[in-house]
Amino acid sequence: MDLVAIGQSAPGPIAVNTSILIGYKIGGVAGALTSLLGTVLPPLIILTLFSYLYTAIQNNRIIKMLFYGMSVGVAVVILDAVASLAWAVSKGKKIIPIILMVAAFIATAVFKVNVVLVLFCSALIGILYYSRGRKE
Amino acid sequence: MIYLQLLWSFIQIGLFSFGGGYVALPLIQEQVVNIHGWLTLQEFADVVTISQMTPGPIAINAASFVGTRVGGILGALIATLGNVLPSFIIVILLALIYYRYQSLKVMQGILTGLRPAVVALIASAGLSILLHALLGDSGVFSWFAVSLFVVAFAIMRLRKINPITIIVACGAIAVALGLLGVPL
Repeated sequence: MDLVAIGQSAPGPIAVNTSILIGYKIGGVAGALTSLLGTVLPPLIILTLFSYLYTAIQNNRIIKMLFYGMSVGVAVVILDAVASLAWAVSKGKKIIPIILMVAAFIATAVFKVNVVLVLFCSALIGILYYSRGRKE
Repeated sequence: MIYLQLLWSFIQIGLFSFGGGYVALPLIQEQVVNIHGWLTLQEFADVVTISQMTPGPIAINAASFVGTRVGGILGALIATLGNVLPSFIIVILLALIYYRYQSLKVMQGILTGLRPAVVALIASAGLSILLHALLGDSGVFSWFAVSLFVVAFAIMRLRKINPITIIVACGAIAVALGLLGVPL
């Protein structure tokens, strides 16, 4: 397993995790902090500027139309990714992951169950499922 | 006080966004829109839009944007710090565990279980952005948004177009029709 695999196992964006690992490998904790700073600084600066800009122009009529149209586009992009991910889960033809997916969707979309609780329960099921699967 | 709330909210987002990519979306929505009301659903959709078009992970972008909104530049720094703190600690711990035992079996089990749930959570967040776009602030069903969504989704599924192109095209169509006087 390489650095990317460790980066994927930890929570948080993979780019951030991988940069922490590479920094750590090269220069210990100080190296990790430095490369983390390098990864986070550009989006931090860009989005801080965007935040001020957005607040200043968000009530402009044309900007409103633009963002309204783009929010439809964002829904398209997210649901397209969801369709591909859901297809990948279903393709495994294992019943438990599919049930888990449907149940988690109903829990959050219909019953507004706390997202963290859903993640926690699925992680537990994952550990049980994985340890049972390995014994067979 | 507001800084502590920002810090704690984004620590939770950072701590539970396993698997990268869109996983942070439902967590951000829950903390920022549902629990604290720092952003409206439209503003949340706009942050996601801006995130899609600028470099950097969505969670960091959202942390910087929301932090600035709520507490200025210091707010942005604190929210971003909170967001990366769990990653920083856990990544280094995992690296140490991996170098000692050459295995992360438990993490693999956790990730296996999380994958289907994560898909569902992203679907849920995407659906609330979609419903908001279809119904708007007024709650009136928009035929414009429905048609735009159906056409754009079909194109996206059939021809794997760059997401930014789709988003910008949707925005441009809305502005063009809006200026022509078509009710959006």
